[in-house]
Amino acid sequence: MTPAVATAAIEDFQHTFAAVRAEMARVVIGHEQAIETILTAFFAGGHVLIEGVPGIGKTLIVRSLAEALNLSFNRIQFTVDLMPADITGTRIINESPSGRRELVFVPGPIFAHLLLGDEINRATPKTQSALLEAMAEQQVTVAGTSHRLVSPFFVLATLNPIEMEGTYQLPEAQLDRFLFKVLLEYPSESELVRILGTTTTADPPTVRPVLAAERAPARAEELKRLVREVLVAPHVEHYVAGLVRLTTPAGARGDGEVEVDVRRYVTYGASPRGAQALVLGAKVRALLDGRPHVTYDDVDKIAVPALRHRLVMSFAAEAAGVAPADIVERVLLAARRLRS
Amino acid sequence: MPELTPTGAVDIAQRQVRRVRRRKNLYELQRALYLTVATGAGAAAILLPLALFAPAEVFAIAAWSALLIITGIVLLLAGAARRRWLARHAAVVWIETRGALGGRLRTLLELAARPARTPGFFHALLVAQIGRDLETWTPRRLVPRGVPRVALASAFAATVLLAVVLRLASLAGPATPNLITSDEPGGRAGAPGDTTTGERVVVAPEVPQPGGDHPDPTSDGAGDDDSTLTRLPSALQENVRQQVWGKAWERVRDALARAGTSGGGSRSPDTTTEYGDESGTDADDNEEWEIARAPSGETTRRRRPGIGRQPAARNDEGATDATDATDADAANRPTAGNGESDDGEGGGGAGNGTSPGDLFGAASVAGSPANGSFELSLAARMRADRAGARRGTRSAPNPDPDARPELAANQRRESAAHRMAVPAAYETVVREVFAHHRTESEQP
Repeated sequence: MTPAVATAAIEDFQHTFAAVRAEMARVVIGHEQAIETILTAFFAGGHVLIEGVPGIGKTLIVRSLAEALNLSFNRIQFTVDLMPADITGTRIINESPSGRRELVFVPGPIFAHLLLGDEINRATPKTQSALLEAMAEQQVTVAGTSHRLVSPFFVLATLNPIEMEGTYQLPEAQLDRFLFKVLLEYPSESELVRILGTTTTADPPTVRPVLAAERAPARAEELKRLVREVLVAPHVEHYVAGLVRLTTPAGARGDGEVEVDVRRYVTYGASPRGAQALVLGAKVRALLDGRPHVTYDDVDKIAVPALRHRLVMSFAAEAAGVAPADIVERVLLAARRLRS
Repeated sequence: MPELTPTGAVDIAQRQVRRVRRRKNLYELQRALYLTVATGAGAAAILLPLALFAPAEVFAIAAWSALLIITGIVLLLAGAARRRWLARHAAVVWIETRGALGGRLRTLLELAARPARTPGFFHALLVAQIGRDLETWTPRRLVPRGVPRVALASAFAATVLLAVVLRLASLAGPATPNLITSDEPGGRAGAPGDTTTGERVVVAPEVPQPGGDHPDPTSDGAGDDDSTLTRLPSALQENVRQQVWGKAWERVRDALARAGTSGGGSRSPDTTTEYGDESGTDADDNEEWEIARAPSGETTRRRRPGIGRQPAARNDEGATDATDATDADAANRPTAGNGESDDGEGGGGAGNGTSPGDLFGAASVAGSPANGSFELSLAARMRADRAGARRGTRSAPNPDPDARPELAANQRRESAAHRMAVPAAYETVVREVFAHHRTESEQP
């Protein structure tokens, strides 16, 4: 591969990324950082957990993304009585014109490129776990038969931080399968004014597809493969490994204050999936920066959304009001000191 | 520039990293060296005048302080050089930082060091970028100066300053002091400790101390601690003076040694006799009789052996008797100045009389009492001159019956003659000082 081709590939990635972001920004006012993180997760091949209060634009973001990428989109509203088959699909008895009856698999809403699981914590753990196999292995198994999901497959699940009654906290295994967790904040006053101005008119703005419909899935997969080609030097891998180890109470070392904080406030640290998320996210950041290799800064920029939902905090943390993001920030500071 | 192959780019980058590292480390080494030289020369420029002109106590304090400061500075310089030293694994990181390479070089070299792995999609681009960046991190760009100018200038300036100080110090050589003897306790001229380089040296009994303690006249005022660490500054000071002033300092030492020798003589109690330089020391013309005193701290200060002076015989008892046996024994001994002992042992008479380090031979051990002192039979009639006590050539003159010595205006102060504990190591020196020398006219 010649340098010119590689440079052109990077520029193509940057252009596509910027175009999708711009199209989403037409309908989503504010949340620029959240949109960038969601797009990063999409091209890194991961899934995103979005947390925000109702009416803040979670669903709009996901729908806008699907329209911009010109990919299929499904939405599942998670409720207490939702069953796994309602997500994955089920087999029904189908009677042929000849009168013969046979079981036919009817795909569920999970068979789409982009899946929005709205208020995922309202479903029972059994239903939530229906997503586990789909998110990790991109397939579902119904009645002993595995069905491959389409590519690209991207799950965005939302969490409502209020109205916690009747909700089921996501199991750690489920949380670990999300590449990033994005927090959506309230829009500022100026953003709110813009929202009012654009959404209450007779002709609200719409998203124009960036990718051609017939080639959209292939193009998305091509860009995802390009991300994986980005070079990661051993020193960056060591840095990521050290960073993840610092989040675990057993591995916290080197810096007294962080070590104390992690041991006091963290019950379980980030898993190897966290390290993978750091590297994959950093690769996207490197490409966006026009580099064919990952640096420390790429890792640092992506550390908080990649690690904060993987830390199991202790009761002491809840009592002290210490959030997982606070621990990740402190761990980042310690890791920077260790690497210098 | 021809397009680089991945392997060629790695080789070129590694060679350039080595060159940068070599230049940077050489620079740091030079800087540490020059700053060390500057520190040493600067300290020497400060210490040199102190060694030449300051009292021993001041010089000792200054020397130890300078040693501590220099040690601290050198440690700091060594630490700084160690921090700035580019280790092999740190060289690439330093180059990345200084050259603003954004991690490209490190990534390329680390990936090249990995076991066989197919080059990735972006590897060619990385190689091309490294080839483009080669000119931005050349050794001359990252380490612009081959010589640390400030450090070199500091070293040069300190060395020049030291040379100037050395030159000025050698020009300001010491004047040979005039010897003044006085029986007044404490003398009448000059401070008690100011007898080393002043123009006049007062040889006088010591002012009695309230506690009855008397300083060791050989300790040079540096305290009673006779350890090596205590003697080091004095030895250094003496060595500096010897090196800088040479012959002039030897003359001063000779004069001081004579002061130590003549300090045992008894002159008219109320008279202070001033001596000139070595002129006017005609022994025959100034010969007179007197009683030698005990060599305690009350009667002498600064007893320094003169260079080339003949050491005393171990036992000088009977020196005033001048018996035939003694004369025969003296006739069998070598002539004055050779300084060799006739019994073959160390101590009195040993040494060749020319080597400052072995002037009087090794200290005598055999026969020295266990308490570290020895007896000198000094309360005897002897003939003395300005150059020191020696045997007379004439019989004692009769006292003038009409002579009526003037009475002193005040009663002389009664001060006990303390017997001083003299270390055995100084026995030969003391014997030399109080030896009864023979003149050439007495040679058989």
